[in-house]
Amino acid sequence: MIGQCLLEIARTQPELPALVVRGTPMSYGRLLSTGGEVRRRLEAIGVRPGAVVVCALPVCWEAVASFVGCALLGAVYMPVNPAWSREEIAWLVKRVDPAAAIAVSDDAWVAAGLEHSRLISGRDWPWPDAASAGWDGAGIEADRPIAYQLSSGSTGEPKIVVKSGGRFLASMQAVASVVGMRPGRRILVTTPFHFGFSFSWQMLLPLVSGATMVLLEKFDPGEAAEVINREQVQCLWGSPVLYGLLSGAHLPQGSLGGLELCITGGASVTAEVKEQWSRLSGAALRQAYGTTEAGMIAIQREDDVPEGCVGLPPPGTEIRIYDGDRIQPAGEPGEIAVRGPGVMSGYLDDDAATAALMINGFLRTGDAGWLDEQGRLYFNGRIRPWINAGGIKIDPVEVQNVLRKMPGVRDCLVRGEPGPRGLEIVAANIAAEPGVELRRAEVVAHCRVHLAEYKIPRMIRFVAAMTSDLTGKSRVRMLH
Amino acid sequence: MMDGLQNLWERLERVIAGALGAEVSCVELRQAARLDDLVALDSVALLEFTIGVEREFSIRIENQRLNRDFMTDLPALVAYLSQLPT
Repeated sequence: MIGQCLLEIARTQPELPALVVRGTPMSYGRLLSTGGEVRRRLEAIGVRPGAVVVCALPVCWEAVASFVGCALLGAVYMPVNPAWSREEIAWLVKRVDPAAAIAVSDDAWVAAGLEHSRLISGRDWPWPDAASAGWDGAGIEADRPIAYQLSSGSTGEPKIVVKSGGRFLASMQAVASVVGMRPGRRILVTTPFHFGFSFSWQMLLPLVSGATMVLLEKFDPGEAAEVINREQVQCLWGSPVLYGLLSGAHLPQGSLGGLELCITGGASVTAEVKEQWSRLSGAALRQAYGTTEAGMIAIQREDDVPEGCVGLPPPGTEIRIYDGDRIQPAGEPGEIAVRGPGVMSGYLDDDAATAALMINGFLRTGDAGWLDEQGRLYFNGRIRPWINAGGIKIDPVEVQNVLRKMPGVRDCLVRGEPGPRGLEIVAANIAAEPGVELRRAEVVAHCRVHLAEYKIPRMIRFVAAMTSDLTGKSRVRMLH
Repeated sequence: MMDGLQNLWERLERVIAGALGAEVSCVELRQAARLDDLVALDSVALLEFTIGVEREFSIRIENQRLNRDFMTDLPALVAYLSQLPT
């Protein structure tokens, strides 16, 4: 379905720019041509429709072409963090048995047991010199799974979210209608596609709308500002971290005046950043709220909304607030549940976990909130104990499990704590075995072997003991 | 010379707390070869640290030094900061 949508854009408007890299545009016609080449390469190594293709790349046009190639073939595209540790890669290979991996470096994938012949180098592909005349849409008819996305679990192991092509496309088109994404619009791509919001809103949304992605291969606030102005970018869709970095980077007032649509999500933005952003760009910062499992749940459509309001659901999406099994009326708080095209098909090979989230056809988000009389959603925080590090959800149990494997660690507690700019950071309280003196550098080095960098605790405290009180909350006694 | 060395290390300790939310003592910093030995630093955190240093010392670090190797090499960074005019 998404492949067909891309084919349609490329057939009817082949010269429309799909993306811009370092000032050079690539048209939809050329992107589809390269996607066709990716499809042929995948087929040549035995990848068939329905098979999983892992893509471990930073922000680059090859990552976009890889997605297009998978969509044309009917393979399942699975973006993962190119900075993943060997242990994380080994887990993934065992878990999904990918038919191919498109990556920057081969070593960890081969070490994890993937045959060398199934690896495709993901960088420095030849720039397409022409649009292909004959695109073949075979293999993309069925509404089959088009992408697997990773989500923080609650058991220490990431869960794999299955998204189907037709529903995903409907969700994108509904959001495009709300935000006015269309041919000619330019959106800045700042974040690798293994982040759910980037895959959905920085890549798929512009692709299915015929809009143009302006790729920022390496994020630097000064360069981002230069690219926004040079390439006449009108849209930004990023985490609060993006806006915080741009707002705090010595940019002159009004220097991002060409921006028209600025959306943030994943976490709340502080009033200070909102104000700084308004001075810098003149554009209001609008809040969106969604999850990997649920897709887009609500998006702010007006510039001024009451504190905590994240807006209305996109067309076709419904929100309910539950207190246990009871639906709450307007104004009453509870757990946010959602039904709509953005909702996942389910977790991969885990019907029990999927069923545990569903209630009367709605997906429970694990977040708390309430609806006003106009149907606008207000976000109240989380019910489940994920750490939200600037929009990236981290499962504290996964980090705790890694720390507990470290020699000398007797116990630990990992949780989110307030960090700079009001955003959460990963914090760990660690108790050592008697007679053992742990050092911060040893803990960081141990974590680095098992975890991606962003999951490693930023705040590390060594404590004498940890106990749980009757409420289940842990108490710590600090070491002096 | 911009500042006494001890004061520089203390100011870096403040930057790390303010920009990254990490509590790392001055003593630990002086003993470490690299900041990322002590603190997890993904690319966003590195940027936050860089902006924090620029703000704390009211400087703009030259483009050729804006890289992970330089910004996390604590002795080199302190030597650089100590040479800046007051």
